Amino acid sequence: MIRYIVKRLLAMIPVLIGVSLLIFFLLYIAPGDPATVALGDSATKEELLAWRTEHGLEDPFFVQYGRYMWGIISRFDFGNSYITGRSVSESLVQAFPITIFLAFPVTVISMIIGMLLGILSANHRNSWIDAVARVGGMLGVSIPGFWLSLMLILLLAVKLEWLPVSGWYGWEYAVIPILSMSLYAIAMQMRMTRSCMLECQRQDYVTTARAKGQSERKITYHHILRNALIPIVTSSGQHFGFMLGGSLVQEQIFSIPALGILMVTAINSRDYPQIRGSVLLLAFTYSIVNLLVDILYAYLDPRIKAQYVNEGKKKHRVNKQAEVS
Amino acid sequence: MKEKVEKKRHFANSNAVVVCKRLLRNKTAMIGLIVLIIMTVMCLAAPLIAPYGFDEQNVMEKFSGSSLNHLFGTDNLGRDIFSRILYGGRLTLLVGFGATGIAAVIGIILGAVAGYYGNRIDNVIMRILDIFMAVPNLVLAIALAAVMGTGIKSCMLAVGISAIPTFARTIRGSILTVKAQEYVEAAKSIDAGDLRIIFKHVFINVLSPVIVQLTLQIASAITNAAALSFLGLGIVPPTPEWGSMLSSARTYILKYPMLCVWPGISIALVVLSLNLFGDGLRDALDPRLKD
Repeated sequence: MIRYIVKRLLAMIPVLIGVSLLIFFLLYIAPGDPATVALGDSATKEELLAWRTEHGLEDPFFVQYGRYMWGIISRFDFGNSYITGRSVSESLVQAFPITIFLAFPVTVISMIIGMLLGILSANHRNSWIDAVARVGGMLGVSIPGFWLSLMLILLLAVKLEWLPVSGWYGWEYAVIPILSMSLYAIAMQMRMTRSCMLECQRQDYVTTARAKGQSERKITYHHILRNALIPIVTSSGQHFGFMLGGSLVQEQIFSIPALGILMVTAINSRDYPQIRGSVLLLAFTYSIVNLLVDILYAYLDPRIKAQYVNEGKKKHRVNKQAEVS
Repeated sequence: MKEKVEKKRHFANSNAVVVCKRLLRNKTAMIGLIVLIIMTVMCLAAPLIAPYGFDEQNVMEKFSGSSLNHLFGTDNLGRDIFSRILYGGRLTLLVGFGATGIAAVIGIILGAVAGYYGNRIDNVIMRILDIFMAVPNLVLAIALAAVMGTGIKSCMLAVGISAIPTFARTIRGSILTVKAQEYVEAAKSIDAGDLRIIFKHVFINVLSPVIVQLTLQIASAITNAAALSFLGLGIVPPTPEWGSMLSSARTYILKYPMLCVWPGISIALVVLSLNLFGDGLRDALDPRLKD
């Protein structure tokens, strides 16, 4: 298992280097000059050139890229913001926990509630519970999150005055964004669980279990759910990605000073180091979560685990044989 | 005569006809399709049915509620919201379909080549796509929009490019299963060319997952494009687009909440009808999955 994890960790490195190269290249070819934004319209040509030289923008692409990557690897330095001059890694460290604080509870809440609803709906197929869950699920995945947030503000903050409208001064400010994202995530998880459960109910091993007189409860939770969990868990990494993107939009709506606002502000002011840092951090987080999901997946699916364990053993045996001969 | 009858029977049993029949019987899918068609036609016919122009201002009547004159009321500049929704729908639908088209064409080609040729080509293509997959979908769209700037074209491209990997992965997966079938081997053994095998034998057999994904992808492209415009990175005001309308209406949400309601309902309705239709299509194409 450790070998599997190490192997997957190593495989992440080229992907992340690829992402950095991609985002660096995209911003390199992007039209618009950060110098004019940073210095304003009144700057002369010489001033602009001096600024560009100072920030290394006159160097060839690979020199710029190499310098940037070296900064990250050697001192965890993502450069400084063009606009504020502040260190990017510092502002990321400040903003990032808030984004995670929004995205993580949503993923957990939706996993639990969504799965329970999905199981319930699949077990009572074609009953009123199923009908309600299906309609709710359909609506949940169709209503755009940012609009739902606005409507929730109207209902919970303006009409009922239970919660604050926007800002970031305490836990109660996180309730509406988390609620709004959760509704979507729960709907997605529920639909996924329901269809996986229905798919597994048809399998031969369910008939076998029933034939040997297994209790329905055990069939549902041990035979069906255990197998249905595999695709459900696989998709949960993707869900987290959705939640990361979704929370960027939510932060904008609720004026939460996290990665989303940081990124959109940076984009509007052509603050390249800030954009790069944010995207890289998001990609890194997403990759780590997907890695965790894959490990969990390997634990859940004995076939994958066995494949790996056997492979290790086989190699071992071959080595031993080589030694003997 | 006999031949004719046989042809007819053959036609009645053809897969496409069976699928269509199944689809027609699915009420929710049909509701989705009908709502989608009505909305599309209304948006396309916007210049004919919209009572006002999309940028026709009448400051005297700003923030008026729903009335016979202004079906959905007017916004902060006194523009008729109903007309703006109709004109905005054209852009929203155009971006949704356009982005999905871009993603489908490129994704299908990449996925087909990777799945069919395998080995090194597969490796190269999939590793490159891994890089794109490592960035969450909306984040990638935001980054691409940052590079290409605002506007219809760049919004379409940003949403489209970020959706390529999903298509490529689906296609590649299905092609890998189809490739191992006997009829592909048979085609190979009579020395059929690669292109002919890909298009005539392999592609036809992976069409159904593609069609389903196409419908569902349009829905998510519309949501993503609206989200981009909402953030001010997609289509920007004064061009009417549902996401950007919502974004500008947000300023007045406390006093005039209805401004936010209409564009949101329009997005939700289009996405809902696409999802309903997509779900129905999946059930019709693969009755095994039908519950």
